[in-house]
Amino acid sequence: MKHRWLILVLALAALAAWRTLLFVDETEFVIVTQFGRPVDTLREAGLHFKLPYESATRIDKRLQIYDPRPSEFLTTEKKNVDLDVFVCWRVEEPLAFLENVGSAAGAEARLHDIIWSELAAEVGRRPLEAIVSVESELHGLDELVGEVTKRCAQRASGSYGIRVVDVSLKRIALPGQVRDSVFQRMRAERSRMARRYRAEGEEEALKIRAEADKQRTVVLAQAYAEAEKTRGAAEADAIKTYAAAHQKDPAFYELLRTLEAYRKILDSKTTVLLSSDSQLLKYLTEGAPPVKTPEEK
Amino acid sequence: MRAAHDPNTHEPRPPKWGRRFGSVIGLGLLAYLATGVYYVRTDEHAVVQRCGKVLDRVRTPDLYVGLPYGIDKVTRLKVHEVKRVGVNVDLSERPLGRRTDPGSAECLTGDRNLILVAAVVQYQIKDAKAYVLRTADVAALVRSAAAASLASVVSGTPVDDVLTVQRLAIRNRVRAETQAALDSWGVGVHLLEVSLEGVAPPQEVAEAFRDVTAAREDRQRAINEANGYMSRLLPQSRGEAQRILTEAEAEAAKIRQESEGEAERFRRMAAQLPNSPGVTIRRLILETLEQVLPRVNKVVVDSRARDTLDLGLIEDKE
Repeated sequence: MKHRWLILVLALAALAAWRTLLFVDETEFVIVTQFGRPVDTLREAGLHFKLPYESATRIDKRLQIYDPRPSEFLTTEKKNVDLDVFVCWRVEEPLAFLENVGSAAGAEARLHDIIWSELAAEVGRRPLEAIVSVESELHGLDELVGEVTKRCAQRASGSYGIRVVDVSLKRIALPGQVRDSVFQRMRAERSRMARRYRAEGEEEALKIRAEADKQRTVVLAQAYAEAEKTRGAAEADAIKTYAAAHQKDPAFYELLRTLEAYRKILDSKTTVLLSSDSQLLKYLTEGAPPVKTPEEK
Repeated sequence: MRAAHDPNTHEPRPPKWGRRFGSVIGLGLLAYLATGVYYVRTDEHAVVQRCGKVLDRVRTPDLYVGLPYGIDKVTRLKVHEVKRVGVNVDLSERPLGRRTDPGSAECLTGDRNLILVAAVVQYQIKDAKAYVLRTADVAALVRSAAAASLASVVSGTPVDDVLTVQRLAIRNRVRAETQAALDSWGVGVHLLEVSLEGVAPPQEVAEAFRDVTAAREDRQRAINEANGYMSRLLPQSRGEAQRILTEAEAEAAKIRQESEGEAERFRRMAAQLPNSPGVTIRRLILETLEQVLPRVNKVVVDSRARDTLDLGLIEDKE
């Protein structure tokens, strides 16, 4: 009987000893509660001790992602945008979290409300250019996201014990009814671009062809000029050569040249009136001249 | 204990039973202690948590003796493995060819066009402890961070740049921004590469985009044709120019030679003239008349009838 009691006592002692041991994982906070009343918050990982009748609640302290469905927002000029947001958060104050939020699902529900109202407010204060723009001074997406993150962090940290690490926009798109008009505009822009490209091609081609034609004209004209100079020089030489020769006997030259001119001028269409007493026909009209014999000489 | 003592009075069996009980406990204890022995494979590193607290040293490949199950927790990581996540694209359909999900890949560009954008991110574990401890789902975090920086970059870039010239710049920016975000969260991964995949205009406007591409090619073709025309025309023109010059040189040579010849001919004729001037001149004149007169119409008129000549007679002959 004595042994039986001893065993019971030993077993109870072992159980109590076991219940005093508390391993705190690196990835969690542990809140020690005494019949539901929180008595301690353990933030340090490792081996801890508690009283056997105290119990431990573990709360994940790792970074969590909350990724809700995308939703529609209105900019200041009442334009719709679809924003897909995600939130990185983690528990910072485990006690506040445990008391006011309880679980990750509870945290997401609360974050959802906070983020929606803040995002709607911030988007509603800005024109669409602040969200999508090709001009970097207008493009204020980082600023928008930073502002939303800051405000969400403020609202979540107090009573919820949640640290909002980052709010980011995963996707910026347009809701269904706006898409169609955007597609129409895109098609119009594209066809304008296509026309411009084709017109540019024509323009460029015409310029190149005109340039080619110009160069051809210039090259040929230069060649013509050069050719004329060459000819001129030759003609000049010829004039000099002829003049030097004809100088010897200008009268004889005149005679030869005139005779040659006759050959060219007088063709088959020419009618010549020959006087019967011309030098050529003198033998016809006057008869033979007296022939001098060598003896008479 | 009592059960072990009671039968002791009857027979010598009980000590055996007690010994067996003791050895079972001993073996169990040994087996339990043996769970503390583990080894880390060649391609792994291991993070060890003792009583929940992480040990400073990350275990590299080797055999280790640690504390048994329940006290030491060993997390093995393939640190050299390249992990991949798809942004707006499902990597699991890989063998069939990846499809970007048009619903979630549609993105607004800086000039308010809609475009499909997807990316594949490759990363590696950089800090094993941070990788294990900072978050439960690293892949989701990498995917979300990459999606956010992709959306941010695209929302500031015109659609044509996204489709063409800026692709490399976008990749690099997304990589840098995603890495910065992941570093700020301290999740211990290193991005190796971000590759843009399935960047394309949405189905609804794809035709219009293709037409622009075709138009760009048309432009190039028109220019190429014109250049072709030019490169044909110019050598041809130079050839023609050369022909004109050569012809002129030939003509010049002809003029010079002919003038030399004719001048010399005249000089020689003139040199002979003084020997018999009257006869020679007369001969030349008559020879010329002989050549000319046969082909012309001739009317011989008596010198005495010269005044009464009716020129109408001559014209009638035509």
